[in-house]
Amino acid sequence: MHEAHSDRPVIFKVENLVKTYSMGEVEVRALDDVSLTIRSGEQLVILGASGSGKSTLMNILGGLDTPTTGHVFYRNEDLTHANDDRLTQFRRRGVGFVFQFYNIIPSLTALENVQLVCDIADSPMKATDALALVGLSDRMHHFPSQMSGGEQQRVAIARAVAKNPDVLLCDEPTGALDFKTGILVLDVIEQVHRELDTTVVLITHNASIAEMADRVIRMQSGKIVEEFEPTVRKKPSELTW
Amino acid sequence: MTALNIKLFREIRHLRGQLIAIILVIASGIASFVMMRSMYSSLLLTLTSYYETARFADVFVSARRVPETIVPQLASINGVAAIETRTVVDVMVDVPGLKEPASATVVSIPEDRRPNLNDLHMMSGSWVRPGHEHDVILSAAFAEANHLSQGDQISVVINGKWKSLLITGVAISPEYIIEVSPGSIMIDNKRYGVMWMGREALSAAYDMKGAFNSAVFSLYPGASVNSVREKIDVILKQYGSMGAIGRGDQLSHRLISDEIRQNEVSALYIPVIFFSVAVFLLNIALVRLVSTQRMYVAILKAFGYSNLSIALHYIGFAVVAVLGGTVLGMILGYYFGVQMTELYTRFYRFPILRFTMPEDVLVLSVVVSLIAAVFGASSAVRSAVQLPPAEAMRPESPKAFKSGILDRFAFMRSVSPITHMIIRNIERRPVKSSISVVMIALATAILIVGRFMFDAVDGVIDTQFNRAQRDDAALTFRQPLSSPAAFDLLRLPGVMRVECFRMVGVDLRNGQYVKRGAITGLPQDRDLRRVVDGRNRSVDIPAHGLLLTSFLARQLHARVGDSIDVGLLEQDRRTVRMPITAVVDEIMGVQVYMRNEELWKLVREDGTISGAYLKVDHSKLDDFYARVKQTPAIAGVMVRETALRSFNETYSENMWISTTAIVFFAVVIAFGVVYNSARIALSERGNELASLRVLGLTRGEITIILLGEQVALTMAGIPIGVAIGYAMCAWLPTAFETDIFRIPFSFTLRNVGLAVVVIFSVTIVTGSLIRRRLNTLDLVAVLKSRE
Repeated sequence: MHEAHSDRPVIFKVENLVKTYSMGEVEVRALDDVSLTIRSGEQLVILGASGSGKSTLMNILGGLDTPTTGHVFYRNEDLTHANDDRLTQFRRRGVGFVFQFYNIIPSLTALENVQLVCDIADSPMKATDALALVGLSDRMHHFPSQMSGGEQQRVAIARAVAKNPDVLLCDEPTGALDFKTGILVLDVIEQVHRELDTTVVLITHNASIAEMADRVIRMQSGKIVEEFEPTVRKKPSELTW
Repeated sequence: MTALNIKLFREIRHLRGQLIAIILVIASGIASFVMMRSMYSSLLLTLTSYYETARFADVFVSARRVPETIVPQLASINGVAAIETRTVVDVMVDVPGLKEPASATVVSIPEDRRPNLNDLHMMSGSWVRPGHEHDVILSAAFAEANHLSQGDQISVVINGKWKSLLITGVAISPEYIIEVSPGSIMIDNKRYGVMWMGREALSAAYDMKGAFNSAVFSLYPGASVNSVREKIDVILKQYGSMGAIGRGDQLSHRLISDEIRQNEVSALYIPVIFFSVAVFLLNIALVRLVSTQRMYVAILKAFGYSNLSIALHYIGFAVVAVLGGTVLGMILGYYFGVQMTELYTRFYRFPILRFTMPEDVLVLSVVVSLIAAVFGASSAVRSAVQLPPAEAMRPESPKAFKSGILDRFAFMRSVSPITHMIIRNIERRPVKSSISVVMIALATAILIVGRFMFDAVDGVIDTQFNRAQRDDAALTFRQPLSSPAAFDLLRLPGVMRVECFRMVGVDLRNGQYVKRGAITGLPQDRDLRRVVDGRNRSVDIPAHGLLLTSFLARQLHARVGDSIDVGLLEQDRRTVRMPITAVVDEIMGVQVYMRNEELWKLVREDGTISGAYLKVDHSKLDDFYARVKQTPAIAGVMVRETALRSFNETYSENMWISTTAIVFFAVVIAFGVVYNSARIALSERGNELASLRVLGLTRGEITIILLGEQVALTMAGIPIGVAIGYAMCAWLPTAFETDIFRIPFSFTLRNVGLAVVVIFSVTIVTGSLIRRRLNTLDLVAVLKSRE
């Protein structure tokens, strides 16, 4: 099914995105005329070094930030000038986030962390199912302080997918993990993508991870400098770095 | 300035919200301490030096008529240093411009010299002149209230005859620093005052030539007041002595000493409440500060800063807050002290009463504040000092949560994760949460008790003036009259009903317990003066025996069924053993009631009366007053309506001031607690809340998570506060009851409602201040940052 992406409906379309920040008296162009289309069911890796603009792009896609100029469409809806309420609704229904540092709530157990998102979603899966999906059925009554980093990240993934989002946005999901655990987490992301047909956008500075993508975009200094589809898609377990 | 100090000041600016809350709490504590403690020492100092310069007496005695020849005998009592004899009488006064008659106590003074004791301080004018029997000196309070001054005339009934007197001066006396008419519970300077007339003139009018009916004594240092009193009583018994009293029982002195003592006590416990709150707030603020600065602590240590300099650095935060609060508190304390003094000078007459802040009070304020700062900072500083540099460089390990007690209950499984978060955050810090609850409870209780005092006064007025005292006017005769006089009273203009009473002074004794008072005899069939119990029910006077107020019964350690010794202070002065047949929970302190007929039998009289309660047609009040003024047999008249008005005027302002202060204090405490807790929760959980926003929770939802904890703690604190308030309201009437009156217990839903609304509003308003900060949470930063 991955071959037919070009027929799939468009989820994100960004046109001529520019994002500038003023740092004191200096103006920094974090995104410089970026255009991009992301289709449903795709697994996209955005690759780039620190400061390349990949996170800024993801923040705009995720409704956490707005562009200085240009347009961003989510399923034909123009999000460019959406207000805070609309962006909140968008994040609530459309996207699931996975952060580098997990950001799970320390006062809630694994199950309750997932339930927290299920409570506000329109048609969530069962929280226990989401945890089963990431292989944490036996740890669901544990608190974050009782879990390893990899387990915490898997809770974060379960939390992100439990609401059945259109798209899963993962920002350096393996950044804080050792190699072995990192592979385990990527495996879970891959599994979610495969079993739920969720669109995945994964940003990383780690070129090896690009090898598991349907499509790779490389960024440098706020511009897309390269876009390609790997000839051979590797399974996460086959990756090394 | 060292770099570390620059860091201190920059960070203080950053933490200003929390510091302001703490400063306000400390300022309230210092202000109340400085004001009350300074007021205490100002009053005490003024009183002591005034008593000394005016030679205020140590022992007081009144009698019917004592020949001057007895004086050497009195003067030779061991311990007596000086003696001054006088004639003291109660008179009716016609004040120009005042429709109703006023009353006054007239005290004689020597025309040719200053009195040996209780000397007057002339505010204006001059001394009475020998040979001028119409000269009079007025008390300052009475003169000011009635706009009278030197040169004005005033009419007084002297021994049954109206006399016009010339005011030669206005003065104050240590004996009447506060002027309360005998038997009254309130100050009414317009209708009651003190006057001083020449001894010659007064003695002549009252058949006291070569005799006296009042004497005051000063004692040598170390002399026993009680032994002198006993000796005086023995000597004067045959002259109708009412029994000598010490300074402690002298009315003016007792009222003012109570006030001074109250200031002394309040200066202790009110600041303690504030300082406890301040120490708590400083503690939670600094513990949080140090935990966010672990990294910097490590770096400073790595650079070679000593533990001491790091400790001093963090103590510095507390010291700045505390000194800020102290300075503000001193300024406020001085301001309120001056206001308070102004209020005092309206009731208490001193030659001069100036508000001064003694140095030791100021030094003590600073010392107490610094101790509070060190206490507040101690646990935070300890954790900073104990942190090994390498440990400090690592981020704090994730907050460990575990299932709490509540998690064991089934209902917890069905509550939302948001509720879980709120409950677990409270459970994770049981001590901090409990203290917050206690503080909120305290603020609630302060409000309830504050309003209770208001209600208590309302209660006194309602009970006394609407339920017990239903007459329009109460007349007292100069001396007991035979009962047909009641028919004469009916002829006064507008008088519709007359109920006579007889009042006889007695000493009540139950074993070792003695109490001086008066038995009031009332007719069985009465409507104008009721005896009312604690629940405002009218109580019958038993056909035989005595009806005592419960306060008096307690003082005498006597119960219904006990018999006590009743020593008559009139007629044949015999002592009779009588049973207590009933006790009433009346608001008037020391009262004994009997039926008129029973009292007459006791004093072996045939229907004499001391006065009467009247119902008067209001349209004819002016004529009534005019006639009363012309009736020499009447010594005084108390008009219910004017008494009520004057009571309201005097106390309502007073009450308003203290209620405002109480509400302010409660709001400051509640604000301080809620603001600091919420601000710290925000700082601790900013990342968590931002992540939740990223996940799609709305601002409203994360507000519930953040403030839910504060609201829950407030909701836990309020009922506890209501319970504490209830206990206080039940305890205060006993704590404050005096011989004169007792404040009734009251606990109204309205007061509880008000306290709940105020405390809840403070929580909500404070919460909304914090909520604004949620709008500026950086959602992007959270993705890149570690807790």
